[in-house]
Amino acid sequence: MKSVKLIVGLAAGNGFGIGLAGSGMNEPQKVLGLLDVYGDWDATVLIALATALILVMLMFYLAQYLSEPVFAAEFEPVEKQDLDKRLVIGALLFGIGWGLVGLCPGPALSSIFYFEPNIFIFIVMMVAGMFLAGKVAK
Amino acid sequence: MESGFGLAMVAGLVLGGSATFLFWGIGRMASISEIVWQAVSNKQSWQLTGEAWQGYFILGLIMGPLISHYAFDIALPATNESGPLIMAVGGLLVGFGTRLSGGCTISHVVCGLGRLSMRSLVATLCFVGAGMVTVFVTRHLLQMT
Repeated sequence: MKSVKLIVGLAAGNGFGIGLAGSGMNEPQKVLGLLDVYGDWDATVLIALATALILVMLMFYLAQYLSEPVFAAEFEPVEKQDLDKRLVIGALLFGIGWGLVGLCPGPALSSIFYFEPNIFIFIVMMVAGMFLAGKVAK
Repeated sequence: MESGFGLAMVAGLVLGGSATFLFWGIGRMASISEIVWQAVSNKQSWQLTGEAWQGYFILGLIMGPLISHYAFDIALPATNESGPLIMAVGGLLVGFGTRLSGGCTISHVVCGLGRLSMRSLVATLCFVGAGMVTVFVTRHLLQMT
């Protein structure tokens, strides 16, 4: 039963990797195109994210009719709803990095097999940033 | 560019389907930045036995584009134009920011908004706004690209 969770994790991650490759999000120029509302705007990534969101809204809504997940004891509880400085400052800093390069964590990792040396610089610094955030703000 | 829209919709369904699979399957949110954090900060995430599935998620994530390319004939992306310094600064900001705000694009836009979370709505407005301003500055004011 325990190893089923690992298989679900592997399969879900694989699905994300396959989906990201077709979504335009693995292509920094398309992400920067989404953010470039003053210039040559590109709707590709928006269409992928909007389609995913509509499906997920429906499926998460329907999940309330399941008493528990298929392979686990309980659903992850809904996160806290209060807003705080960490959320806003973190999201703003993330947005600056996203706008600089055009990569977020999922696409960065799923770009490993494109074998561009610079992607490894991004990933190493991203992980360093995560550790740094834990040190700076508790 | 038009031909990419149909593919983007299919890709969106695959992404949404994967998030649904993880939630219906083991009750967890596909918050990729948080999964990455678990995978790098918790050694148990890579054990063959146990319940920590995050390392396996990352393995699957990395394999995904290979399958897309060889099985579904998805074109490889254009070469990334950012130099090493921009990649380093961008990576640091992305890691720091997603850890501080508890989520990345998929976490907040797909999973968070999919759960009607006010925190994810605020985070999404913040990082999309900051991203748009950054692109305006780099592309139009400084004309870096």
